[in-house]
Amino acid sequence: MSELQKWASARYADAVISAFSGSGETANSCTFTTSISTNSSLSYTSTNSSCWYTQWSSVIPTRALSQWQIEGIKRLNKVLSLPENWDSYGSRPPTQAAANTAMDLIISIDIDDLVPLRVVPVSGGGIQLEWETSTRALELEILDGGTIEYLKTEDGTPVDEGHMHRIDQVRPLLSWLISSQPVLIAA
Amino acid sequence: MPERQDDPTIGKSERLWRRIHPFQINWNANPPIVSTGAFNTSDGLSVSIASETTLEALTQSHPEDSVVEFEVGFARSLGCLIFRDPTEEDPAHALVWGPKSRGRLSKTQMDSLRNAATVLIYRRPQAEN
Repeated sequence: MSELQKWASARYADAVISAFSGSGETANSCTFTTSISTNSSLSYTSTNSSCWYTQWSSVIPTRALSQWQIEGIKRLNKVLSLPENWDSYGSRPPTQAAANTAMDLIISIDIDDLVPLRVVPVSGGGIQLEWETSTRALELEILDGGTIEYLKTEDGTPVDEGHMHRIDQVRPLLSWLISSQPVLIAA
Repeated sequence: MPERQDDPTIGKSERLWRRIHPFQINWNANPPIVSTGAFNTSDGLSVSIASETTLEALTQSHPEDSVVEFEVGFARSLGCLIFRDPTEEDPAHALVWGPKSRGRLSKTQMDSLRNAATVLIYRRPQAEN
């Protein structure tokens, strides 16, 4: 079971999220709607432009995501579509390992009312996730191998940097980011 | 991995230019802000020595890119090595080699370099944000 499936199952205790095959409505619109055992009707999307006969290995129930997560995933999809040499200095596109870690990070965060996420490609195959409030900023750089480094800045000055070894370690970093602002924490 | 050595013939007041992909700029900020991700140095940060090229030459094949500038001396103050690495496309090409493995900079050093850099050319993409 993938991290995505675990996450989906945790949010929908009776749901069965499994791989399935499908075909897109048009070549550029791959939105599927299906019902799962919770009787919830969820929309699933794919970034694959070759929709016909696509083998789906995972799904994202977008209704369960916060708006910042949905926008972040859309942005991630754009970043993942970059070609070879996208930076004009010979970089490869973001690696699959970096993409997987970025997606796992985004969907694992259970803070609904979070500032918008920026997703930035990094030369060499990495991805950087960035959040910024009026006084604080947090950067998570996902290296090409999927490991994560972070930087916290306050009033434009770096205050801490380090490595994350598990994606659940992002929680205290985000708590620090938004600690001076009212937030809604999901149950 | 060959040992990297700083090139002392590149003076500390020499300026270095780097193209920036539009995805690496926060266009919603005013003025737009270049991400520290644009200063990542995986196997060296590619730059051009300003006195040995022109902005036109740097961007002629990359009309969608913005360009930033910073000084050699500042990069060295962060612990970076600067050395020439000419290519067929860009004889002024050089590398900024950070102190970490694979020539990377720490996140704090990337942030410092970003803050010290001047944006010479902003090229806002039509479909970006």
